[in-house]
Amino acid sequence: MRKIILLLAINILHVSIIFGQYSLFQDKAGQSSIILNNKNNVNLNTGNASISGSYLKNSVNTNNIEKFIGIVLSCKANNGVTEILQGYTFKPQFNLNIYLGKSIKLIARHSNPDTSGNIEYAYIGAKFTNSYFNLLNKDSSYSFASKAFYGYKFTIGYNIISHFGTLPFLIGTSLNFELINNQQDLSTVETYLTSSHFVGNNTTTLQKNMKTGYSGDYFTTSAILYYLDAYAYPEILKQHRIGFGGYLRSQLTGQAPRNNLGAGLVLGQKGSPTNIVLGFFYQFNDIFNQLDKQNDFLKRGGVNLIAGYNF
Amino acid sequence: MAIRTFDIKLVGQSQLHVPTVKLAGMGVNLWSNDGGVTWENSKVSADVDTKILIYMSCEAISGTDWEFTVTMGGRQIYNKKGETGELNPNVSVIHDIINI
Repeated sequence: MRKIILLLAINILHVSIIFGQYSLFQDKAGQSSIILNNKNNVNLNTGNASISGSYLKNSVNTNNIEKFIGIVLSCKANNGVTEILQGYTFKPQFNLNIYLGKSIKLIARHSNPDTSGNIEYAYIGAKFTNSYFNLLNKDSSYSFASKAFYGYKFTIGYNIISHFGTLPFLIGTSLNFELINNQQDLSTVETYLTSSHFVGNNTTTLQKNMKTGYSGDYFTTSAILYYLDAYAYPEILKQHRIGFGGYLRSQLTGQAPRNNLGAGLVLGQKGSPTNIVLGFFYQFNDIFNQLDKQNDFLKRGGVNLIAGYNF
Repeated sequence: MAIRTFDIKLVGQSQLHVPTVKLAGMGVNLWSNDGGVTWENSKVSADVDTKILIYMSCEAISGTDWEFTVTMGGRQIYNKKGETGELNPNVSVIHDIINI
């Protein structure tokens, strides 16, 4: 009973807890257009029960951070920790992010550019990723087909730290050309064999060969996506340590375009507001109901928690 | 007046941007090997008297802690801690005089 309640709670709230993702400001899928202040970390992603690690290299070669190169590599097992421990087929997934950025000056500066409080960067990037999952066959055999997905993303982005009056803010925006799939839209399903044993009036049912996977119309599509992340850090909230804001993820082209919007609060490390240790968001999925899957606006949303540590 | 060598170090709790240091009115080049968190130049030579004018400015989102130290001959002669945004958003600026 407790297990059912727990599963219901998870399904209703769509809670995913992510510990220490390399991307400090991110949505439920781990996407972000903010790359400023990225740091090294190790990740434990309990959202999909997997362990991953990432390595980031920022290179500074002048008197300012005028140019930098970032590399983020993360790996994980395709179905999480349990699959590794139980000795099933190991198909490691990876994410490789490479980006190159440069300091720019687009907006007007005051008399002393070194103390204007405006920090701007432009960057280009590429991301390559793979994933494996089981897809339920449509032939009523209740069997799964193994699917492999190899995706990519090419990005051009812009980050700015600035202020509106005395209110500091951080904004990131990017335009992305991606090969994506609709795995997130599919339903998760389980199949298993059962055998029943009758002893007197008692019946014992055994479940074995349980397999998990996805069900639905699977497709991949190339698409142009627009990302926007914006956070403000008012002084009254723990001396700038707490920020509020959110993100917009717009799939502009390709199959099943949609717009997701997230809003929430982030808590930064002491003395480093942009190193998030805790984030609480509510994500509104498909805000214009373009997919026409759920008419109730509130039911298309879900809570997202992020916890992290940077070093 | 004598030529002395200084070790200048600026360490942020996270990335510090546009760090600018002037010692006795002269600009000091700073380098970072950790993505802009630690900025340093350990061989800054200046022809100084018993007092030195020091200037430091840096940028990061308000609330970012930093520590600025000046060392001469292994002896720390200046140390200051602060956070960006104390006077103007996202900025820290210090003007000071060091007595050697």
